[in-house]
Amino acid sequence: MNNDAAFIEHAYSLMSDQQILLAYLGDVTPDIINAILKGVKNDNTSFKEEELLTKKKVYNIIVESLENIKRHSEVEEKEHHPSLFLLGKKDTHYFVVTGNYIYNDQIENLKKMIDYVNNLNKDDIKAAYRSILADGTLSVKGGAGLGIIDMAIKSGNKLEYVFQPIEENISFYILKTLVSSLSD
Amino acid sequence: MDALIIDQTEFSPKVVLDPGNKRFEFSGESRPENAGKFYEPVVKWLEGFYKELNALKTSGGITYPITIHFSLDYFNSTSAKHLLDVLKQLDLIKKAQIEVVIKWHYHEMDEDMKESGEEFSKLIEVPFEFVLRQE
Repeated sequence: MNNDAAFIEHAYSLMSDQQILLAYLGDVTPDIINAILKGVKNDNTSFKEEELLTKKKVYNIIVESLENIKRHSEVEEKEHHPSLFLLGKKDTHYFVVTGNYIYNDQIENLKKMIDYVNNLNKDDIKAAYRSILADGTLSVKGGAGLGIIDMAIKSGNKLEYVFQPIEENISFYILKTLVSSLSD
Repeated sequence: MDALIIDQTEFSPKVVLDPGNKRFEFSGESRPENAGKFYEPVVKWLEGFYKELNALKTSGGITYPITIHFSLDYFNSTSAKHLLDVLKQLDLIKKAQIEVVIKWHYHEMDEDMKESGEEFSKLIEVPFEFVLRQE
């Protein structure tokens, strides 16, 4: 128990230092997505009443990030690598972080997509959203492109990503999305 | 034509397509686990409705404009594609010279929902009216 206590203290200070509101490590299943979203919807402590729009933006981004993990869950399923989800608030920003393992052959497309979105201004992002919506050129995985664009629109900030090489053909994909808190 | 009514769940919207009572409405949250499966009967129903309206029109039977209310709290990007399919069906009805109006409801604080409506309105011909939600 003494060892446990040290570990728990460590976990506690780590999470409070980083101002983590919600953390999950495991497989991202539809039930887990629903549970996380219910929790966020009913959370009136982390989100003040005057921050309803911020909360909706965060909610939106959580949906798209978790569905994004579910869309790229081959490694999660085949290699039994669980995925990570974090929601937190640092200074004047809420942040949503996902970390999941993907096969390296997916990296190029993801990078291309995120870099493309990050280099667009607000009006151009919306035009990109409309054109993907209208001509139906969704990715074969059922809308990954539209999801990323939607996250960028709701965030209003650049999407941050890292691909950490893990094994010969597998990398750890971290995606961080910020939402500026309107009331701060 | 029989009404199509789908009850709201926590993650899927309420759908009311009820010509008998002149009520056409989408409300709530749209994030169904399988959006394709959820919207398929809706689009099918609208296809049937379009055919019926067209037949009625030739016999001079339509006397009212069709007003469709969208009063959504939230929809995900996968639903957006299917909502556009719904809106395209409304476009067909309009192209058949039947008056259609979309009323897009949004909360005052929810600029994002208003913008989503504006984006949709750029993709179809049916006119959008934006309505502030009171509740």
